[in-house]
Amino acid sequence: MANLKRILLAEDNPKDVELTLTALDEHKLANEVVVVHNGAEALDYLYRRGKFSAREVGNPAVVLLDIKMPKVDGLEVLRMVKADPDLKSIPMVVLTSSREERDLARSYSQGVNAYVVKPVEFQEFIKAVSSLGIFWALVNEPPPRSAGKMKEPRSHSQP
Amino acid sequence: MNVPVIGRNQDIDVLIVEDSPTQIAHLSYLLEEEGYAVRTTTNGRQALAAIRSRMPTIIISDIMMPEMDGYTLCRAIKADATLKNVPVILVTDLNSPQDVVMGLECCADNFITKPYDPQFLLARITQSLLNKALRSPHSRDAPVQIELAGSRYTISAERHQILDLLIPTYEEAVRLNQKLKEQQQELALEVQERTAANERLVAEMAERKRAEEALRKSEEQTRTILNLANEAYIAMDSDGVIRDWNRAAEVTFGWPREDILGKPLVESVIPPRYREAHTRGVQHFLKTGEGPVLNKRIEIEALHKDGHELPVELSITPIRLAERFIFCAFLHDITERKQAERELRTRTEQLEAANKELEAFSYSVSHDLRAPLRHINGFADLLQRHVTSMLDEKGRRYLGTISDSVRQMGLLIDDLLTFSRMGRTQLHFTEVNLEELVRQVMDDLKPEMEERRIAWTVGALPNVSGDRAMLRQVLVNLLGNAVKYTRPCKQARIEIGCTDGSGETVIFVRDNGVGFDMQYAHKLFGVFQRLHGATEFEGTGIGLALVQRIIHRHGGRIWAESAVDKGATFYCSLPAQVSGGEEAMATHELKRRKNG
Repeated sequence: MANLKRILLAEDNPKDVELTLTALDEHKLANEVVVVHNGAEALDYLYRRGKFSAREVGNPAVVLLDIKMPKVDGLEVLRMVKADPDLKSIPMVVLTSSREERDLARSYSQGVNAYVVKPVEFQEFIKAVSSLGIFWALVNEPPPRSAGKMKEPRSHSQP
Repeated sequence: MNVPVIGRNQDIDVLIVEDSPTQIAHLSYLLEEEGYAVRTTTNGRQALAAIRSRMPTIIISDIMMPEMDGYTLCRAIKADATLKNVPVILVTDLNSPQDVVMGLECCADNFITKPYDPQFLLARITQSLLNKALRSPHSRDAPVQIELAGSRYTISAERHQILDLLIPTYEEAVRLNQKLKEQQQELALEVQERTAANERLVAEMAERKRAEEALRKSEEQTRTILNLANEAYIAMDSDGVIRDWNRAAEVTFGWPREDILGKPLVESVIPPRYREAHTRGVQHFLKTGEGPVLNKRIEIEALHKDGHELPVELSITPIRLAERFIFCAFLHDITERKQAERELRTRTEQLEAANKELEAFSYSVSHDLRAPLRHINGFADLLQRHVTSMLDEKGRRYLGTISDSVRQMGLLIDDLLTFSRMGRTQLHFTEVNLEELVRQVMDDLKPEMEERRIAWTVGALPNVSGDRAMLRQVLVNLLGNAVKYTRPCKQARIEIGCTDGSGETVIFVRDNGVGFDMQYAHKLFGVFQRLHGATEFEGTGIGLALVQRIIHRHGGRIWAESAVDKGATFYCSLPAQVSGGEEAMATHELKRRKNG
């Protein structure tokens, strides 16, 4: 099970974090979930810098991304990931309260892999999140390049 | 009888008696040309001396002369036996009968009237010479006494002399008569022509007067019309001078007509900054016939007499009159319109700002309001799981109520957001197959129709032009309502059909459900307005407001007919051509403004 890749959850609201973790836990996913609280931290994690400079090498199995976050928002993270050849194969899932058309449109135009509106109903929320976790962390076959391949820190992206 | 022999003319000695040198020259020339030998004297006395010194063949004498006149000369000759046979021709005006009598009395042989015809004169000379040759020296008539104009005359002239005198006199009279007749005819002709010309002139003058009158009337009419016009009218000639100025122009610019006529336009109503361009434009037009501002509506500032500027809308048309151009301008003050436009622009900007705020607001509702709701729901659920064994019936009911309320609020937020989105989202018009859309919506409603007996009647529905997603929303609401409000019916009947009105398509959805009281019909389409209690029929009170908003944006109308427990019929009309819808026009207006 040590080979199971991590799930990166970028979510600023601790209540949502707790509910999401509970939902993922519902199906006993063994993947480690790394929680970051804004876009900047998410990018630090992906580029292994700042407090994540010492983290072990490797891209996450999936990034669950809230849109509205302080500092760098979810759409900005999405744009940067999809613009980076080393990161763009990471499955990016927007998990948000917003059903606004423009958020949907911008997400898809920047190459999001899935867009999920958090249901108000908790049972449905559990269903949605856990099936997301199952699909991206277990069912989906990641691209060969990212499978187990270690990502080296890149000098030019160091702050 | 001896045949008279007349010698060659050079043997004939003609004595001319005449005091006028020009007459002498004329007569001498005439006679010498004919070969006569000519002597001249200037009065009767000289003539007598000349005759006595040498006898002439013939004498031609004037009458009025100094010292001795023609009559006295003639009488002296005829009284002298040695001279009496020399023929005397008197040159006379033959003005009165006295002239003839005086001639006869002095025994003149012949007369020539002045002015004489040269051929006539020469013929008289020949005739006189012939008569002289034929004359019998013995015959002599007794003298005759005649009275004329109170004077007595003794005529001792011989018969041939009288004849010679009378014939030319008569001839002259006939000739004069003839001439007179001709002159009279000419005169008559001339009079006729003059009369005709006169009549023509009179007619022409009358015609001209009529034309002038007509022109005056027409000008008066034109002036009256121009003065009645709301538009200011200004005419300028190609020198830039103002030629016409109506009453509205007086009001608009403050210049009275009599003060402005004849003044250069450029110095009166054109603000200084446009003057050079104006002059250049006129010159350019006169040179090339091109005028980019001519014959179209333009908006520009003009100058009032008191110095303030006013915006005007004007159109200038050049009219060619003979070889010159007149520039006619119609214009009106658009200060009020400009003011209204400015206000409209400000209001539009305010509205756009308010719209943006509203958008931001609904976005935040969508995102921020839903999150705590989800948390309440999530944690209530977790609590239930956590404490379920510790809770009694009451406690479980409380938790259930919390969940129900949260669900209801979630629906409310979702509906509100949909409603707000429907007002903001751009419409995408396509041809929509209504029949197909109805089938799809009926499929969507299947969960609500479980364990229900519903008889559907779907009539023939046309294809309409509209936004497919929004029209679907309309059908979801109307059909959903029909299903919902027929719930108490053992056998529900729902009918969907179409009636073609004039220029519009009317769709109706009829059910045999609980219906509503028509006195509350006006509340049907208001946001959050409900005619049934939440325990009776669930709902947020937004569905029909949404339907109305969509139909309005398509340029259509919505209305309903019903009675309590008699079912309800909802009608919506869609214009046959959606381009006439207010939304389409608003979109068009927006594009126009962006492009402009």
